[in-house]
Amino acid sequence: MDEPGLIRDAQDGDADAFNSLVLAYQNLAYNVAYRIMGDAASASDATQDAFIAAYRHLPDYRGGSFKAWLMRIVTNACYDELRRRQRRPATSLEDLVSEDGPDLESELALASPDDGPEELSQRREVAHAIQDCLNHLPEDMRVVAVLCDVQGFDYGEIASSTGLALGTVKSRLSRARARLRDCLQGVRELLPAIYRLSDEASV
Amino acid sequence: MISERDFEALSAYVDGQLSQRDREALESRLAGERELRHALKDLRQDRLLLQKLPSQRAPRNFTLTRAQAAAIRPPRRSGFLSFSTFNVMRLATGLASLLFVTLLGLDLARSGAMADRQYEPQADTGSALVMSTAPIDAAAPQIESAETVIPGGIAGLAPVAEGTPLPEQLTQDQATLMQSSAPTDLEGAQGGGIAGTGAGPETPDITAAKTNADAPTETPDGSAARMNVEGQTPEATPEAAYEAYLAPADESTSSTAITSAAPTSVEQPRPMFELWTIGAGVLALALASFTVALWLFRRSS
Repeated sequence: MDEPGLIRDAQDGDADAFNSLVLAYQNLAYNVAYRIMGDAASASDATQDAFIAAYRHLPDYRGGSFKAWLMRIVTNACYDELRRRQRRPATSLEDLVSEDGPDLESELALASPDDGPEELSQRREVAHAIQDCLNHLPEDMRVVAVLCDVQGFDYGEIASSTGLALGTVKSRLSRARARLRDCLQGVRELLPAIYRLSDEASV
Repeated sequence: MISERDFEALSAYVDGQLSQRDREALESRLAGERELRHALKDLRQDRLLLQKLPSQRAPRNFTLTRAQAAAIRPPRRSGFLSFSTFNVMRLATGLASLLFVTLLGLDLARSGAMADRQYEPQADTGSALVMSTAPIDAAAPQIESAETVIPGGIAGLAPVAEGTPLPEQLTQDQATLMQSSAPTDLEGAQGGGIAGTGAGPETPDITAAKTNADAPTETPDGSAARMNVEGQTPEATPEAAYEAYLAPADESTSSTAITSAAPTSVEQPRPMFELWTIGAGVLALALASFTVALWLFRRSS
């Protein structure tokens, strides 16, 4: 994919070129939004808003990492969606997370053909618990934790995607991990073998 | 319980973000501190958990339709309705308007200057006339040709020259018109004898009048001029002169010479200038109309 060429064409108003970029990044954008928002419907709305905003502001893009530029728009769309949600206090975070877990289809996609029903259920339970811990993080910590630990961004990419200084990213990530550590204390007891680190590997 | 600072060091350590020295210092502490080692193990475990979270597949495509894209950000127009065309039209309208205003201003300034020139020399001529009354009389013997042509000499103008008040019905303009006729006639009659005073505007017509006075039979204008001068009888009053001036053009009367006096030749370039001004105004108006129409069309489309 000739990303710079597609970006130039999209800047000139070529919707097809922009759609090529959308297809290339929509899974990443949706995943980030999903982990920040905690539910599929809000994540879908935030992702759609993000791509609309990206197309509107694409002429202002002045080079650099397109991925980081787009993720910044996605995180901003998530913040907007979270603020909208806060203005409707009748709906709590817990209510928005499905009782069946984050997304049945995606969880099933994770499952190995060798997994039995019990293992499958266990996986879903773990995923649900992790997402619940993420949902209880403050928004600014959640975004950093999702970008770093879920999506695997390095500190520089996180700084570009959030507009934060590297030092702020580092300290914010540390505090997010400390809170997650407390939250995930009980989850670790439920972990299947594939999630467990051996004592040798931990040091 | 480990400190927040130690946890931050551990967090940076698992991400490989510590410097060589800090990493070595932390590793030496890890070897001796079990609690620190336990925290590092939890940190790595949690990190692995998050990394193992299933990747979500986008539930649908977030691509934009052409209509959506056009609504979000209208594509750049090209051709007749392009933004650059509109800007060029705006610029052209502005320039044409500026040209029109400039020409109009110049025209007005020019008109004002000409009006001043018409008044000032005539006033001078009037005073010169007063001053020159005696010299004319004194010089009368020298201007024999004029004396022979003008029965009664300049005496007919004496009331005006001597400041006799004009009748009330004569306005200043009328008096000016009368005065403007006076020097012309006078100079024409004196054959340049008064030209030395420098009072009257030295226009081609006046020169012609002088020539006519000197050689009254050479041209038809000369005869007219002579008739005009001859018409200035001692009984002629300012009212009569003014009425003669206002009378319909008649080649057989003295008013012909007066009406064909100098100002026409002085203002000859003016019509061309006015044509330019009018042209610029029309151009500015047309461009403005076109630009407004273009703007309305762009808005509606």
